Amino acid sequence: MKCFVINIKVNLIMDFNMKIQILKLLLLFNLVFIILTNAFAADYSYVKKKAEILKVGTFEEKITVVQELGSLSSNANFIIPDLIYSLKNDESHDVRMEIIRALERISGEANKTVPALIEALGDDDWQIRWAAAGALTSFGKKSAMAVPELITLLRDPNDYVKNAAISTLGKMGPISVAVMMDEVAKPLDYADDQLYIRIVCIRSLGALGAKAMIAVPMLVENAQNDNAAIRLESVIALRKIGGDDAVPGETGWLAEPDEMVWPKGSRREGQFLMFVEAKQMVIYAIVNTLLISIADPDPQVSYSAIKGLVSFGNKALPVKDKLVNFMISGSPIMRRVAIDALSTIGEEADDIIPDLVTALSDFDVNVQWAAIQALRIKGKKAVPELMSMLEYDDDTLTSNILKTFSEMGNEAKEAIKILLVMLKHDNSTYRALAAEALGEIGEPSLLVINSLNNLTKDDDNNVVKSAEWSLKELNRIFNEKDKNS
Amino acid sequence: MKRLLLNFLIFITFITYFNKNIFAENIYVDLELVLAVDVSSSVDEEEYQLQIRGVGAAFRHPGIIAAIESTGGNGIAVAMVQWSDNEEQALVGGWHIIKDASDAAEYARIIRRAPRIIAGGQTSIAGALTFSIEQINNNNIDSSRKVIDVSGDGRANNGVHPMKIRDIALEQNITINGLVIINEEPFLDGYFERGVIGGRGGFVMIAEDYRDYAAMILQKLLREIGMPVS
Repeated sequence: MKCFVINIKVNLIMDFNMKIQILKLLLLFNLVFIILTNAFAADYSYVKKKAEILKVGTFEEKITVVQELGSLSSNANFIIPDLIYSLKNDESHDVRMEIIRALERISGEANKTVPALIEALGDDDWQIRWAAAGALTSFGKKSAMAVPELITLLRDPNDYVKNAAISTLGKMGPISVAVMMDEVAKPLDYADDQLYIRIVCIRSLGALGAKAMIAVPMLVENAQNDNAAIRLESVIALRKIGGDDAVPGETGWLAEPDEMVWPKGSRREGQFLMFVEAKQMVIYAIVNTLLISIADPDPQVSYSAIKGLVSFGNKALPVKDKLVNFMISGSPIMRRVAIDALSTIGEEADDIIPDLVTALSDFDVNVQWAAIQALRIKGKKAVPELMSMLEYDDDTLTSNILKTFSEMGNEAKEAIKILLVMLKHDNSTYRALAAEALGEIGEPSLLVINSLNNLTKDDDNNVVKSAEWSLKELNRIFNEKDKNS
Repeated sequence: MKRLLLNFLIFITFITYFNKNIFAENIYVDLELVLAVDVSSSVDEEEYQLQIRGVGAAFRHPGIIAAIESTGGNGIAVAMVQWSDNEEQALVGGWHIIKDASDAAEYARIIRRAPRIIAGGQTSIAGALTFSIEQINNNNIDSSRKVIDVSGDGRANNGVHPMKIRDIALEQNITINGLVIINEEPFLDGYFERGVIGGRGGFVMIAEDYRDYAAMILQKLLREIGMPVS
């Protein structure tokens, strides 16, 4: 019985302590609530005061207020109706432009803002139409109801407005795909500017990337069109839809089912194809089109097709020989993109290493750089060929071989002996580049360090700096190794 | 009065302690250039490497060296900024004065080895611009031209709108140029033209993807430093 009484007493004490704790907690919550409420109240009344200026202020005051409201982002959501009112009624072009920018920054209350911006798309002032078309981008899928008006704007007399409209359509997502496909399907004599409309719609489909998968068959067909401009845009769009950047991983596709236009599965000859297989079919169709388009008579189409193949790695293997031929094309851009495509093929294209080394002496610096990077990717497999070509002692070639060793880093350690010889070359540029390559290779042997030390007394400042840098680098590596051991 | 004097002395000591260079003489160069490089999540390691190696290669180009040497001995001051979201910016390796080929080669080495300090994040162009403006204002370097060279592959999805910071930069006579990589957003150049670039001779250049970055940054630097594109 005594024990029972004690227990009750303890419980009562605990309850009392708990009550105190709860009371404290409530007081704290109350305090936080009061602070927050006051803060919001202050914000609200402050912003509301600003809204008054929108109606009665001078031109300068209005501009300042609108900019300020725009900078508040979503904190100014409740002021959107006031901004919309002024957008519709203010007489100043500048104020209205600034309001559209503010609405774009706030990006809230889509059910009110998007209709207001749609109304602005029909404004007599082209700059208002342009700004409104651009501002709709911030609303993504929520601006779906603007699609018909944006399509109408594609026929706007002003180029800025047209471009803003197509840009927004290209950012919207699958909701605009069907409308754009309709426009692409229309014959070129449908309207005076139908060629332009078709081109921008194809470009915009490409901008949507994987979300426009459903348009692939149409684009494949357009890649064979008689008109070179249509072929070009179709090839670019296809490479964007199928490229690495556009096609997210499979889980990405599944994670965003509302973003999907391409079905997760499709039926062919009664057999169910999982979406992965369907994706492979799409990629196959795209790559096949790119492989065909390489031979296009229009150099721009051909260039774009090669550029597209860069994203597909060894799928470019069937056209390897053609790409090697492009490496001696008269156009530096073609030579460069061919090197880029070849560099992604992998081991199956190791036999092109001599061609890549030759490209180091190309007269175009960007082709040389593409070759350096391609050889960097090849790594140590390319070192023997690079070393053997040093005997030609050509200014451009030798400098670029030495730069390639630097870019390769430790992969080029087989070249250390020949680099030590190059440290004694008459040409100071070679000495500086060889010294730097030794630092990048990062093998701090006594022989390398002594040779670089000798170079710190060189007559050429560039050589001295290069040697000093490499010594510092090798010293760091040596200390790290020492610490680890 | 004594108290006032004492307070003033404490204030001066405080300022001097926290800003050792406040009384230092500023260096004069022809151009202050910030290379603001996008390292948001959309930029993978290979793309990052293509960017920094591209910048490194550009500083070895004879045209760039000739342009720098033609500045009459003043040279240029360059700094690289890595940026992603509103809270993530970093100055990589500080400011470098480049006056000749050996300085340029030194800078190329530093840049090529520049580690990726920021692993990823969202895209705040405004954050990048704000940070770059601060770097220009606090570098103890004077020049007749100040340029922020912002490159990126996407629109801002974090922080305030870049227009706001662009306007602040323009008020301080800082030009903003853009290099847009349109591999993910084909109409990005229009966005940069509308809301990011500005100032005396401000321009946007377009790289189709990161493989084109080296070629485009070379052209861009040639234009910025003051030589015609060869």
